[in-house]
Amino acid sequence: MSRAWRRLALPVLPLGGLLAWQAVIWLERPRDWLLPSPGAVWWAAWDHRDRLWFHARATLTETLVGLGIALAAGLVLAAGIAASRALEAAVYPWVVASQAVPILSLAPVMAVWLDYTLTQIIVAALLCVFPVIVTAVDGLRGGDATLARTVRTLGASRGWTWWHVTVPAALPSLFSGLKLAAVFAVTGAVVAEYVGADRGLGYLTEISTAQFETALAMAAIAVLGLIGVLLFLLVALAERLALPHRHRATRPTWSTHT
Amino acid sequence: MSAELALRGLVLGRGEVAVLAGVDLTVAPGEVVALVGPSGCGKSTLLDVAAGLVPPDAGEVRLDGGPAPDRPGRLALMPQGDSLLPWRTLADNVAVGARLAGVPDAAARAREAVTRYGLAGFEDHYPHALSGGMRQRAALARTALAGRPVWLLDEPFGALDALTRAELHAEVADVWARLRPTVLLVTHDPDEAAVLADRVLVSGPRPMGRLVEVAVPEARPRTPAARAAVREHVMDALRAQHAVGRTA
Repeated sequence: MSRAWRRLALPVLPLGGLLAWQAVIWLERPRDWLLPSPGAVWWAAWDHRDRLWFHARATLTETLVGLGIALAAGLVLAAGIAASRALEAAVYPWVVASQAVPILSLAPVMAVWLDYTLTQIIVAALLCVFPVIVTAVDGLRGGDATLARTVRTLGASRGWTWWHVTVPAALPSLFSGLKLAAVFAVTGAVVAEYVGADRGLGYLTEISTAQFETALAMAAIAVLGLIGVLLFLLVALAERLALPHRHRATRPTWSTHT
Repeated sequence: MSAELALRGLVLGRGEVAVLAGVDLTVAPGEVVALVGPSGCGKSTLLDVAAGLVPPDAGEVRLDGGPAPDRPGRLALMPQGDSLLPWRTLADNVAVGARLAGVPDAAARAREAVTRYGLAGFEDHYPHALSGGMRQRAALARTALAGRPVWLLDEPFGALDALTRAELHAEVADVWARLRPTVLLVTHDPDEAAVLADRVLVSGPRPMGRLVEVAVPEARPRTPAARAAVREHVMDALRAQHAVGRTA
């Protein structure tokens, strides 16, 4: 399929969905609180833009702080696990076992101990730390041993070899994990808001449906989707900047890597 | 820049399996020795031990009569297949060895070397955008620029087509004539040994033990007839070793 055709293909699904939605409105004429029209959702978003922005900021903060904590903790743990068989034996099985507990079920208990925002941050972090650890460990382990062997004989120290050979080789795998983590973090923050919160898009969705403001709830959900896509694209952009050799034949002018 | 490389009674086991069973080998300063053996006979392992990457169970590696430093770095390894860092440009890859060796203005010298090795115009290309022959040329430039007295080559031209391989053979012979390093080359290709080596040793199947030196007519560069003779001697020795391996 040519490039132009692929561009045209992108909006087909959402446009089709909107059209089907509008068709249901025309044919069935449901009550506003049961199923608002796409236009009603749009206008609810416009009328409540200040509220949406306020709550979006809260959710975005929880998501990003949670993601940051998961990234920092996950990378340190992964580096340790990849480097030491003893640490792997002591820690890795428990990291895997911890995923058997549905993380979201922890949220109510944490809300008892901690304040709301902290609960949301920690749930988001717990939900997205797993893909970070697994993909980082796999990446750090999976590098080509020949490359490491060669630079070692050229006089590289173990530290140089780790930083300049092992870590770059792990980045593609790690970025896959980061894309998952970015999306999971939003889910974690929102679900934790259902348990107890006084702000955030999950909280806004909950109180709007309770007050039969379904259009506003759907607008909040649309903003959540937007945040998820935005974070995913941000990670994808970071990947392109960090790994230019995966996408181009020659070094780009903005790369300072030597 | 040469040194004498001597492997003395090297023994190494991997679990239950004996890989090296007392290997003795000497390469004189500036000499090129080829070690020919079947696949899986322990050639790559021998180079790992020689390079200081793997400590032997017994025996030692000596450089100029003294013990080799147990840290890798004095012997440059040029491995099988692709050994360029995929995330570095060609020029950065060529500079790695010199930079690690603390050569001043390594970057500028790397750019010079890129031109000298026929890669001008591709300085800023990533390895994946180059042909296999160009990548091995870059690996050769990197090894040369690192300035090591001893080179260990692990079937470096095995993955190339016949024409590219012949070009690189000529190129590497030129580089050796200029820099005079001490070279230990392992290969399963008798022709490669006949073209590149001053002396040729043959190993039987694993475990690698006593090495048989075959007669080599003429000094390099050899006539086609001399190369054919070397090839026949190597094949005879391989067959004999193989028979010994089967009856033992």
